[in-house]
Amino acid sequence: MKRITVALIASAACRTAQGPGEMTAVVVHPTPESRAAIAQAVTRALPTHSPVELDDDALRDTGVIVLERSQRRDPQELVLEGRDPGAPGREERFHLVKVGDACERVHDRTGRHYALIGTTCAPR
Amino acid sequence: MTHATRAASCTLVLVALAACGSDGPDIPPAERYANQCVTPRAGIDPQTGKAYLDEAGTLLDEKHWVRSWINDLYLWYREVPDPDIATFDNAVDYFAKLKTSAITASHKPKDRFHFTYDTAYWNSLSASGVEAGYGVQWVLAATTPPRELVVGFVQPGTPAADAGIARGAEVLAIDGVDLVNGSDVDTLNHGLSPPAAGESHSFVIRDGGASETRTVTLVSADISLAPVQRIALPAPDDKVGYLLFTDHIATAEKALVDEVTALQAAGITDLVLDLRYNGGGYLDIAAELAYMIAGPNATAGKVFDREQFNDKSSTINPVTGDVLSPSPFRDETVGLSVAAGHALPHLDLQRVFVLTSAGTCSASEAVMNGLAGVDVEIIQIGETTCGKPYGFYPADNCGTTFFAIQFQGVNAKGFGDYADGFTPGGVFHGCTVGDDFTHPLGDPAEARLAAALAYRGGDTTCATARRAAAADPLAAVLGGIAVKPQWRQNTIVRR
Repeated sequence: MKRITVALIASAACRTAQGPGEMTAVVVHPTPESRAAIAQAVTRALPTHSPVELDDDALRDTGVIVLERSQRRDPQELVLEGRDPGAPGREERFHLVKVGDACERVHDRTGRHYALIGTTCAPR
Repeated sequence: MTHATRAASCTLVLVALAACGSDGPDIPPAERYANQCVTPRAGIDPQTGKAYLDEAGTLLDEKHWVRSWINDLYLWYREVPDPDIATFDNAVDYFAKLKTSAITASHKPKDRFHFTYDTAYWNSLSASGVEAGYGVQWVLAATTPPRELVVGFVQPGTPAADAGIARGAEVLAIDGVDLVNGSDVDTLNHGLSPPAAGESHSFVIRDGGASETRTVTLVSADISLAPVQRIALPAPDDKVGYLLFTDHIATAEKALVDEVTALQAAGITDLVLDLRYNGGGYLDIAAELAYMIAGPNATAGKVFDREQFNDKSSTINPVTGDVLSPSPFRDETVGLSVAAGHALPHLDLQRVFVLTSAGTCSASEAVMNGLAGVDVEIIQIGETTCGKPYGFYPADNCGTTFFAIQFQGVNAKGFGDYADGFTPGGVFHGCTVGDDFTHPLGDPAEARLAAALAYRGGDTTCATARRAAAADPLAAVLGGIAVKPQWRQNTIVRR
């Protein structure tokens, strides 16, 4: 499996077109730097640019990040909205692609691509 | 933004309300007062991706909105008192009084689920299942002194697992504070529920079966919790599937598909579904799991769950404006963590053993009730569940998100009256068995699982399992509360 390391200027890259040779990918050898890059890119994709919590394995196992509202509990320690009918668009999903020599995170809802700094990825 | 513009942007709601009307001329629909705020917000609303609709208003406007919203949507709006609105200093305090005071047959308040949250806090996102912590499911067997905190389970590969902590370990002190009788609950809660990764805390624990204590230092990390674990049982129970399902979160969709596929391939003939630490979440996941258990023949054309709103809204969902239609058993993924539209695996079982506790709640209870609605036999082993057949569409107004019960879920047979929870041997066959912290989850000797396996063999009283557990108090804990770190807003340990 070929591994690539990406060091792009994140702020420069944001596109919606699907380029040629785009392959779904997973992160390999995640580092604090790559994790920060992913978190930053995810934050940029959200309407309010709110910070989000990601774990160390973000995008490593499946290449997919699912964001949802953090679970809250009531004073009885029960999940506050335990019977959640959901709503379209409440969840935010992202997947990782390798485009040429770059790793890019794709926001599923908008199709926008965000380049990642210092992230090593490989085709899945 | 003008009132006219705002009204135009809320067409669906207006249509729904107009169809339903309000209760008398004194209480106009909530839309009349919506977004009229003492402190209007500026910027982008994360719920809509558009600018906030807030306008300058008064405290009275905010309180009127609360009164109208309750009158429009609260399930028991006819039972709401009418305190003097002028005597309340804020909308939240006023809201707290606007609920039924009725009690259930077991003398619990009929409405135990009436809350508010700061909207920005409520809306904050995290990767599904990710939280700062140690990878431990804590269980509080006693919340007030003398407190008892036990490890329910530990996720492999986490700080707690690395420290050798396992189910059944008791926590005696945190950061030098006595957990059992100490008064510094802030320190205790901070250590149990660290606000961020990278915090170091000292724990005095007594491992299960040990007489001595030891001190471990745990460093918190951002941990992605696994919502589903499948544990293969040894012969002669190797055709019994065991699933520990702890959260109806988005990532559970993929995990359930993967694990049920494995159970299908293994050719299991019975399933033990361990919901003892599952407080609910997405109802769609409950509908998928119920389908995967019962299969297409039992569920085709059947209702999994039907939402019943108050008597103003018999045909229209008053929040979404959609025509009310029952939720079916889901035979395809809905797209929470697997692409939508994938056919689900199914086990085609006619019965399922469900392990429960007081923390088995909401969507977990919906799984049980939905299956019962299509005549899948539920054998319930454990304790009475929480009793939450209700749901809400939380609503933001002026920066506060309000939660009031708006609908009740019923199954294909029209049953949904379980506000006092499901008790083993009540609605479902089964028996009461305590939580056995002396054995790992998924161990055939663990009391609840042992009782389920013995039940299959004909011991429908669970006497054997209860006898085995009787020798050790930690093998028969009743009333434990599963607690999880969650951005530190909750108080885990109480004075």
